[in-house]
Amino acid sequence: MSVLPEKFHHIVVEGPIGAGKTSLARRLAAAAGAALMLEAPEENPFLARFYRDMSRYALPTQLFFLFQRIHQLADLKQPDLFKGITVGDFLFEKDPLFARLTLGDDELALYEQMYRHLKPQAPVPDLVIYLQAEPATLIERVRRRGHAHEQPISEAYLLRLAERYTRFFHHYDAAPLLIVNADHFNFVDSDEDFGLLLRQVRAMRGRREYLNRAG
Amino acid sequence: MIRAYVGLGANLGDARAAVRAGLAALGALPQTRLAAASSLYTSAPVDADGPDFVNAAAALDTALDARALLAALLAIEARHGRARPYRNAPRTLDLDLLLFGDTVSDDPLLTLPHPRMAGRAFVLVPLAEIAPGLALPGGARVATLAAALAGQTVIRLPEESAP
Repeated sequence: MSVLPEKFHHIVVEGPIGAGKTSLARRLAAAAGAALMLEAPEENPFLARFYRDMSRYALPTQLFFLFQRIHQLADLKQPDLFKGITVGDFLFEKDPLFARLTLGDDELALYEQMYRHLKPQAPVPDLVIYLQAEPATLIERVRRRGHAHEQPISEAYLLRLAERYTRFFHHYDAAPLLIVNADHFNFVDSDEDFGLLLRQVRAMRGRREYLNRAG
Repeated sequence: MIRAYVGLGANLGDARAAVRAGLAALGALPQTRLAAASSLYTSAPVDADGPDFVNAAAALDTALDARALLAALLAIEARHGRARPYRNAPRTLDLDLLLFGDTVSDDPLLTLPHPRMAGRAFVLVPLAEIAPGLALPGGARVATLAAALAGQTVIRLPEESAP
């Protein structure tokens, strides 16, 4: 049996900043011999200015991410029999969660218009793994990993973001969803934790399942 | 650096001031230089209600890619007026990415060259002023296309006219 079931061609690991989605996506892809599709914030030419002057540069920053994501995801529509599984660390639908936190009303109206225009082009994944974590966990991880572009992010922003994610996934039903309580797992360093997750993914039958461990 | 051409239009409020502000905003984009700006022109709108349009064209030399430039243009539009309530509604400032180097793209988000530029004198006449020898990726010269649309009235506004 392969590491991941073949029915999952496109797996997405999601969660707020600091939940550990990119690390888990990397490990899943490595274990399964899958292709990786990661967010590329370093390619956004507006991001550095955004952190200096948020209200002025929020819209070009958001629109660039929106266009970048749809461009990346368009690759998944190219039929390629040998491509196998792709593991990503972003869902197209996550983009508005950020836009609604950073844009003013008029800007958001324009953003939503572009989003609605692009949404039909975004492929629906075969499985979404949502890493849920307490805000305190997120804050600690963001501070500890010390990515330069994340340092200006305030705790209030992370709190609101985590809350938006919770609400979003409460209603999400487009793809099968595995909700993981990431506070009590270490998928990067613990082979046991990672093995538990793989087993849960292989056994996944329903539209919504949970992986938890009593804290 | 890529040479890109942008069409500017406005037809609400102080349309001339809006187009001038748009040109200034293009010059302030990251990794971008405003290489040339046309005079301002006026024309009757082709298919929008409202007063006459004011139009201009700009040449940019930019290290941004086409998607980043599009994002920046949309953001400038938004800073100069409300989002469009319906298609072809009058707007404070309208920016169109006409050409991006010799890129040809049928991406629905970013069709290049701009799909509606060839038949529109208010786009081609300002563009021909700053780039008369420019050829579209299909080979047609901008000046030739503009001359063929002499029936559409586009009037160059005098430089000294105060807004």
